[in-house]
Amino acid sequence: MKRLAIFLEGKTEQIFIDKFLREFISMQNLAIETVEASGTECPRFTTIISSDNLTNQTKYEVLLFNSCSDRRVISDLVERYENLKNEGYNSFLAIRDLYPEYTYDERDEAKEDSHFFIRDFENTTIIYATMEVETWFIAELNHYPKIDTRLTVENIKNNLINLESMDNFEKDMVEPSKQLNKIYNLVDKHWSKSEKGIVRTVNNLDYENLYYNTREQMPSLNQLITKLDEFFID
Amino acid sequence: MYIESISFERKYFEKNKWEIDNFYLSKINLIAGKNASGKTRILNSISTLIDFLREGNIDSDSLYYSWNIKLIKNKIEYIYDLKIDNSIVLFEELKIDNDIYFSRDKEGKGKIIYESKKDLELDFAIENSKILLANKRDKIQHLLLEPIFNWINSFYLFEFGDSLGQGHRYDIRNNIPNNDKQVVYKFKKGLDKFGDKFKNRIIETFNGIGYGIEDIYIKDIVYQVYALYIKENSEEISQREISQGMFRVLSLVVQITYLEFSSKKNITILIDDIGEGLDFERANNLIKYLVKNAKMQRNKLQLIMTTNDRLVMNNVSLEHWIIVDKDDNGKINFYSEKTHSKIFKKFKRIGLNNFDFFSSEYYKEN
Repeated sequence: MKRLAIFLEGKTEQIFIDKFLREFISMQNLAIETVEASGTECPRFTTIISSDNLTNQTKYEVLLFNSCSDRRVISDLVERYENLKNEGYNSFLAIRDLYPEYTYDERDEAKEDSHFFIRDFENTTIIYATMEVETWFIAELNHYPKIDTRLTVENIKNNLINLESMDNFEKDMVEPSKQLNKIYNLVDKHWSKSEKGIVRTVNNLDYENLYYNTREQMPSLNQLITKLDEFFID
Repeated sequence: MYIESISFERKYFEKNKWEIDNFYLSKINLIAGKNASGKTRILNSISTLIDFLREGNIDSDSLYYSWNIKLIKNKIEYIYDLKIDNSIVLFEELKIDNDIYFSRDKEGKGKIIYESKKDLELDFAIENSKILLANKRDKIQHLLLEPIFNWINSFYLFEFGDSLGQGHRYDIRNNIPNNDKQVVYKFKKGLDKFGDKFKNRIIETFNGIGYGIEDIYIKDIVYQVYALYIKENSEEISQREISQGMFRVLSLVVQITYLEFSSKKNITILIDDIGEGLDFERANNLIKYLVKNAKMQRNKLQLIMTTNDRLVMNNVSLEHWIIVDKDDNGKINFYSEKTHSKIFKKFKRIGLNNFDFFSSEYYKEN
């Protein structure tokens, strides 16, 4: 069995990655355990949120570790790396936002700075979901009419922003969460960080589109998918 | 008055020496370092100087000590140099705002400013085993030295890894040494001087750190010998029966509350191994209390703590950190926001625990 641990900074990433994996990996082969950390200081208290059963057919076990804080993701990875490795985890990912500490132009600096702390770790990658993970959702154009039939790309173009002509989503979306909210507001809906709000968007995303098309415009998403492919493709 | 920097050298044998060079301090300091990196020695370098200055004489058989300490009082800079070797003062000098106030050689001869007559310097010859500074307290002739004496007399070293006075009662017939073991004495003195207000503040602070005592008091256990007692869950517990960690916190709270209530203006508190032996929650609360207290009394208190504890490091903002690191050649290097601001700023943006800064040795990166 292969084991992958993914460290995330919040509920949005946790729900999205969970759904993403379940879209592409057969249920029989996949077991996801989701853990949430609480407490801003050491020691961290962890709570198991959900845990799929392990069966004879389980080929991949994935730990989604929600740090519940942007300032804790890499620390949680660093603190737990040895133990998880000893438990048989052979691949590690951490997903972080650049926002608010770094600008888009400082993304290489961010990667270099954080790489220092994992320089001796095997199969470990930190992915910066520039600027926030919502950038990926904004760029997945097929989901808007599912949120509301009136929310067409045409409507968004006429009233707010031409998403089809964006040269560089990652650069131009400075505050993606606010931008996504503005788009939803066009039809009196909101992007909210509540579990219900996140699930609504995540469930309406077109995962094939994300996998085959959206990633082409989005180096950070492309990096994530490439890393997941490396792990899941035998 | 507070210490801005200190350089110190001590030779044990001809070739065996330990030194720190230009160790800079702020008002609140957490000295973080691995075991044997020199944290405690740094505190001792300061407290040994204080001991000598309180004593006024050199009766040490140590081979060699040398200090250069910079003190600041209301923007006035005092630089004091003292070198001693084999019970003799080799050199002693005080500069106030770059002007030499006194200077003496190993014969004990030198010159000192006479304040009441402007620009007058007097010759002197002092025994070569005596420290001039300690022997020149005089509010008419040497008023400028007063802040230094106040600083010397308001200096406290707490060795948190030690018992902090758990085995010490207060015997009224004995002289009271000015050290961190005199908790019963300080409590009695505080109670006599400030009454229930003093006691209630101790209970409030102590319980705020995570304990639950109902009362604290002293009892005359043998004629004129006092011991400390607490009441917890309606049960009386003597100081000997209190758990070690709990007593350390109680002792620290009593002694710091005493300082808070007293009108001293220049308090320097050194705490070695802060939080040692405490659980997470209490260590966390104790640190918060100390830092908050130090911030509130910024103009009169300098706090210098040492640790190698992860929980403590995670609970003290990096702005207060000084990392002590011994390199392969035995040289002691320091890293603080003052000396290495770029790397501190860079680290803060990455979003990690403070402890990761220390454990990864990121501070050494250029």
